[in-house]
Amino acid sequence: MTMQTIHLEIAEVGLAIQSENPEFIAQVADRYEGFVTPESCGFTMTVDTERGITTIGQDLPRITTTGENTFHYERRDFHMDVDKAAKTCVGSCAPNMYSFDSCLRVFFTAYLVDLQGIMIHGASAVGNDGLARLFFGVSGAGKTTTARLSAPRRILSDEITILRRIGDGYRAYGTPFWGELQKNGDNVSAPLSSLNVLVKDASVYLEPVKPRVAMQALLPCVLFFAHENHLVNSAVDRVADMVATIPAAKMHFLPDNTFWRLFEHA
Amino acid sequence: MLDLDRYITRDPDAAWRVFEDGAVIVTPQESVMHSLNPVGTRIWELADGTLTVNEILDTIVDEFDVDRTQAEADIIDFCRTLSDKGMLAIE
Repeated sequence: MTMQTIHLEIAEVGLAIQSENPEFIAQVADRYEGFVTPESCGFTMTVDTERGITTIGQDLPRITTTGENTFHYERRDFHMDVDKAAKTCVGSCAPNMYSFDSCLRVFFTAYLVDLQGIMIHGASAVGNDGLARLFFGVSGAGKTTTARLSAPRRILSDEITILRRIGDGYRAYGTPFWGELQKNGDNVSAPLSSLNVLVKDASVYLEPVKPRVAMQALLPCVLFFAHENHLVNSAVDRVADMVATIPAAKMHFLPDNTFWRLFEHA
Repeated sequence: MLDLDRYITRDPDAAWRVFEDGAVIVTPQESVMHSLNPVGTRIWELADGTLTVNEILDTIVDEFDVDRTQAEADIIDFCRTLSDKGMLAIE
């Protein structure tokens, strides 16, 4: 069998996905449309789809630091050994996009720590002013609704947004990790200008909140699977820095697009 | 009744950050988040294993202008609650 490669770039992280399974590579190309690039500069992820992992998993993923620059992560349907210095990921994954999508998400949750980044269960979109807003909350708070109502603006995601510390602020990146919309986000990024806790209401207004309240609301929305102390501390540090840097508010909204007036006509 | 001469030590594995209006604590193994008010935050900060409950009580009464009897009851309740959650050791 010949190794085939497809290149992805997500949040400025390049990934060359290699596999001897041409069907798997074709599925990746289709699933990550919009994030496929002619070439990539970053990690090489070698995926064996034949090594006995065939069932869709239900277990929570587990991440283990194995060395100064290496970590291992696994779930019932995938496992990967990552070398951050060599920029390689080698392992197996069940040959379906549900499993591979989860495999990629877990990789990003762990690797983004090094990039001063984090993954948030939150919708995001770019306003007419070129600035991104994050909309987050517990399940059912309205992430998909706000994403859908943000059209025709650039929608970064209806489910998971990647945020990275860039200079003295944060940048929000579109991701292919979708929720109910089942549509990849736009592969663009923009400076993040506000953190908005979603509150369904009968009127539209912003209620500014202090950093502690913002952190309490944001922490449960962090996508993070590691339990090792240094990694948990890094994630908590990242969120604390974010709420100290980016203004946060409870965004009371109606099920229409009038909430954008709070930002674009402020 | 909690002996006021005992020492209390916060969980060294907990990740915590202090804000002007309280603190947020995350216990790594369960990834559970806890929030403390300013008085609870001060007790947590002081619970480094070098001070007795009584010494911490002195500081709380001094810094927060609260009734000592009430503060004592609150600290005992706080210590028991956090101890039950494995976030505080009482020695």
